[in-house]
Amino acid sequence: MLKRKIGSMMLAAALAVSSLAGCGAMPSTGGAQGEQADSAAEGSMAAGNTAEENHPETGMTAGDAAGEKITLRVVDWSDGSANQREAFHKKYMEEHPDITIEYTMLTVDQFKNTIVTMIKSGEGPDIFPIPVGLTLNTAVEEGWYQPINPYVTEDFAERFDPLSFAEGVTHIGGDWYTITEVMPTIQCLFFYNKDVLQDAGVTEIPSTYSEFREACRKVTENGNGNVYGLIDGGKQMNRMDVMARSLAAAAGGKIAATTKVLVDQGEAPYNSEEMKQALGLIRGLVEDGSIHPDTINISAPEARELFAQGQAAFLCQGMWCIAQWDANYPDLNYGVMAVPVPDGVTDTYVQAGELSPWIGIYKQSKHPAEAAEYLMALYSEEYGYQSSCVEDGTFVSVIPSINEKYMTNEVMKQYYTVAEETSKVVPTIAKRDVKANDFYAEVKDVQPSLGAIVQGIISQSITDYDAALKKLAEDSTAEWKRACEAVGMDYGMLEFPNWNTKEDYTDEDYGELE
Amino acid sequence: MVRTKNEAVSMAAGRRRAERRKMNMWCWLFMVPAVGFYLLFQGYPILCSIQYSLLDWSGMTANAAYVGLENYRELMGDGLFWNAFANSFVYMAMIVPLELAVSLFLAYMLNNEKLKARSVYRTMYFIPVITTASVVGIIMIFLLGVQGPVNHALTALHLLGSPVNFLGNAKYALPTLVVISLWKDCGTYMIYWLAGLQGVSKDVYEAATIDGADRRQTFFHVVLPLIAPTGGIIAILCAINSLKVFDIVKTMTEGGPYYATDVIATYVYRNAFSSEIGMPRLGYASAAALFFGGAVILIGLVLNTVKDRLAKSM
Repeated sequence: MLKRKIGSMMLAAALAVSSLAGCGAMPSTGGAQGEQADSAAEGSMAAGNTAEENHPETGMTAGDAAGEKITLRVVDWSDGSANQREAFHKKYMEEHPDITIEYTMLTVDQFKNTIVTMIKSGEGPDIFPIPVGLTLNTAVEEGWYQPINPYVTEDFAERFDPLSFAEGVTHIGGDWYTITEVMPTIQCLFFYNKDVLQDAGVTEIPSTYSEFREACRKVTENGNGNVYGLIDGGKQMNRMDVMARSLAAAAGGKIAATTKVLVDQGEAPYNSEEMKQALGLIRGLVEDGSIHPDTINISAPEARELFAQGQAAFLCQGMWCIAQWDANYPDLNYGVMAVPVPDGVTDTYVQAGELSPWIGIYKQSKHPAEAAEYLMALYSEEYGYQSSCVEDGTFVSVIPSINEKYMTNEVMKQYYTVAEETSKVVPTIAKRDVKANDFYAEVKDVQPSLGAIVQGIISQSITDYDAALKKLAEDSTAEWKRACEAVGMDYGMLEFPNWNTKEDYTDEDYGELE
Repeated sequence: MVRTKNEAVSMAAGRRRAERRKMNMWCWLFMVPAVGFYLLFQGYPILCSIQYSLLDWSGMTANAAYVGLENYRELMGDGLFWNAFANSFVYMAMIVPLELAVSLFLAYMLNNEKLKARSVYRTMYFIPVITTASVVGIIMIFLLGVQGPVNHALTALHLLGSPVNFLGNAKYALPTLVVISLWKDCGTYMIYWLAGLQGVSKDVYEAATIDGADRRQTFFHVVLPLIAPTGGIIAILCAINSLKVFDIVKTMTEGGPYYATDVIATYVYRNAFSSEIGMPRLGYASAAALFFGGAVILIGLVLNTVKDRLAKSM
């Protein structure tokens, strides 16, 4: 009896543990590097058409020569341009009957979970982007990517805006590994619904905190429980983080763009006056009841929908909204404005968009030449992907000639102009010290994060946000110091004493610090 | 040749041992597939998790550093871990009694042979079980929104003075998730209860009726004691399932607002697979999962011991 009881307890225990051991399905780390190298070699041998075996002049592979049907596997998370991508693939396969494109679109999180397993099992897709959070240096060290230079034509690189290339982002030394998806632009400007503002009697587009708060209050009062001042995807902490950083930068604060680290006066800049002002504005909007009550329950795409349905006057998001609204809400009467600034503050700027690595060719791809050909088509005018995305307002292309010709969407032009006028390039530690890659691999998230604190303010779970910011600043400073020490980087490298937020941070500025 | 009594006894014992061995062999043979799958898909991952919990590892690179029990030490001082830990048990405490009671009530009603269209009702109550959690989540966010139909109906009926933010208010978010999970999962437990109820002989009902017991009395004094052992198993399953709740929380609140609905599974997921600055922490997340699993086992053992002592003392 006792044995049976112990047995049943053990069974229940095993069920409980197994239910919580989901992480265990991940691959083992033991000697992974060595194994990877071995499996890469084996994979190459099995494929029978390694990079070295491609035709040196034409780039043709053994598969081409034999007239085999080739399947190129492409995986990414570009949901904003899904329709254009589908049209591109259709056209590409029509013109390349020997190639089948197997395209999988995942969410950012799904991609992060999946790609590691695919690569560890040697089944990585031929073309895929770097997961958010991983640096190019780390990905290359891990054997994820191979240089694309040997497979692309010489004039291919000349199509690109030189600003879309950067060491540690697209290149390592002389090798070109990834192509960025878009020209970086600000991820946070304020869209406004002209009809909603007009109905509420708001005739001037607000530019200061008090004007913004007043406009939101008027809209909310006039909305009678159906229309509110501001809406956003509050369920996504990253969106809350972006909004807080942008508001703080517009207030004159020295703060890095989202996911990046910079220090001001030796400390993580979360407890600065500018950040407190930014969060003070959000708290004020909450007190006024001006934030759409569903904000805290919804994600960014859902907020975008409700804004378009006229449930709020303002939305803090990026350029990607424009194409979606033009397709689904052609009658939406909207515009875009700069991030509001505190009263009396002038000549301040938000963080300009930062270049980030995106798509590259898998190191063990059996078809690197075909993969490179796909990339050349993707970044060409001829196949229409870049031009249709620019025309629709989905993004600003990394190919300037396409932007000049196809940027016809008025709101997109307005967004681009406002972004150019109100943002400045901020320094990045990766450009200053190569050890920054190790730092980003080492540093750990400090929780509750800035995004979580904003979420706490909106849901009214946090009453004393000053204390929360102070703790975040202290904990982040301690963690950043620890991470610097762990990778042998001077903590001082996180601070840029010659950074003037009113000016773009240039190569000369980096040079001054050497 | 005449065998002595001892020899005969020993031969009989030998035959019994051989039969037992044969029986055991067959048992093991039938268990091999299940045990094999268990070891492959549960045992191995558990062992891997134990290994990972001793590493400082993102899960994305080959650079894994052995840190011993450092992850566990850090967990002890992590307020958000304890918040998720507590939320998991609060969720369990709220949902298990509700789930057991509601599903038993439904099962008892549907076990009545006189009830017309029983199979239609059974199907109706079971449909939420087979509906994907993400679909349920999206629909419920719409239904329970401040401007959604639920608030609209409640305010129109003057049951609420003003709309309630069911998922956006830290006070209501977890109870709201409990109600939704209850609706979604009670079909499963209803089936378990039905299996138990159908094991109760008709003679028992007839005897109770002859003795003058009404339907309520029959249930509480006759049926319930008979199906209590089944209830124990259902309670264990329900408790285990509630402690590993993930999909509905992830879809509807992502653990928010401000960690109010953060349970261990969402905490583990967040640490294992996402990060705002830098890399995720698979090693740390594994430690959290294992620590929680260990704590559940420990609590179970303690409660079981207490229960046995109480039973002996009575």
